[in-house]
Amino acid sequence: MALDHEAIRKAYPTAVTVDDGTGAFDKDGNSITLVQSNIDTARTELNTAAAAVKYKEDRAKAFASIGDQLDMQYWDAVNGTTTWKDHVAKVKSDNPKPS
Amino acid sequence: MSTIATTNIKHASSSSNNIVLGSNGSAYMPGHIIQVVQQTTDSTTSTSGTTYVDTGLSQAITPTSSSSKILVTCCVIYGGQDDSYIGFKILRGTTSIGESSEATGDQSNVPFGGSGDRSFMRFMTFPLSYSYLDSPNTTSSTTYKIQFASRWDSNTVYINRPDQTPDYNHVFYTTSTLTLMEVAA
Repeated sequence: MALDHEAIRKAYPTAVTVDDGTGAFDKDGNSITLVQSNIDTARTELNTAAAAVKYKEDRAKAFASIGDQLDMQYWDAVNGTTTWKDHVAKVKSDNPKPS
Repeated sequence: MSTIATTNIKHASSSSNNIVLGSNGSAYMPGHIIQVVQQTTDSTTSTSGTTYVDTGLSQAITPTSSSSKILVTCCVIYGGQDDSYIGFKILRGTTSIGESSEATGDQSNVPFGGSGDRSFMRFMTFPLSYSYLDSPNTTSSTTYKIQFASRWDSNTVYINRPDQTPDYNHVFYTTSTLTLMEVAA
């Protein structure tokens, strides 16, 4: 069974090694008794923290490449359009920062 | 159709047998692969410690002759936090094999290792392939296994997954393999 390595490390800060097959161990190789409710609590905290910054990764994926954005800005300057500004605004509105 | 019943075949000018036929149907030919075993694992393991721990890759082989070589090949997929470094060891039983002897001071003698120092290493996985021709000099069952350790700043390193696993299709959970081939000698 795959273990939740991050949650185990958060719930048990002394965990140095985590193995799906054998469990968690401290720096001396001593087995750590894992309590699922502690791991679940840690997972909830990790998910909350991740959700708070997920919009940054979503925006990074949604933005056009720097080259394409420069091209948008060039043609906006030539033609008086707002393609680049609209693109950035759409990415931001599609992936809002959590309040 | 005729059958030739014999045990040894040798070239007319050779001083030793070129092919030895076993009663179990095996054919012993020096330089040829006569046995292959492999372990594949998708189990994930992680460590932030500098002490070497098991990757989960472990495979036994029983050489048919004490003169046989064992070609150890592996492909280990690893990930890690940004700026992490991972060292590997290959053990035959409890004996480390294939290590360099060039490191001094705090440097590490290992058969192979991987390094990070990448801004987005935490989302990535990297394959490391390695091969070593070993001479175990035994006909007893011999177990080879691969261990790993974090070698920098207690940063966590992983086998078969990246450090960060957000719900994106570029997040790879992988399989690693350890293959042992007996080479007749």
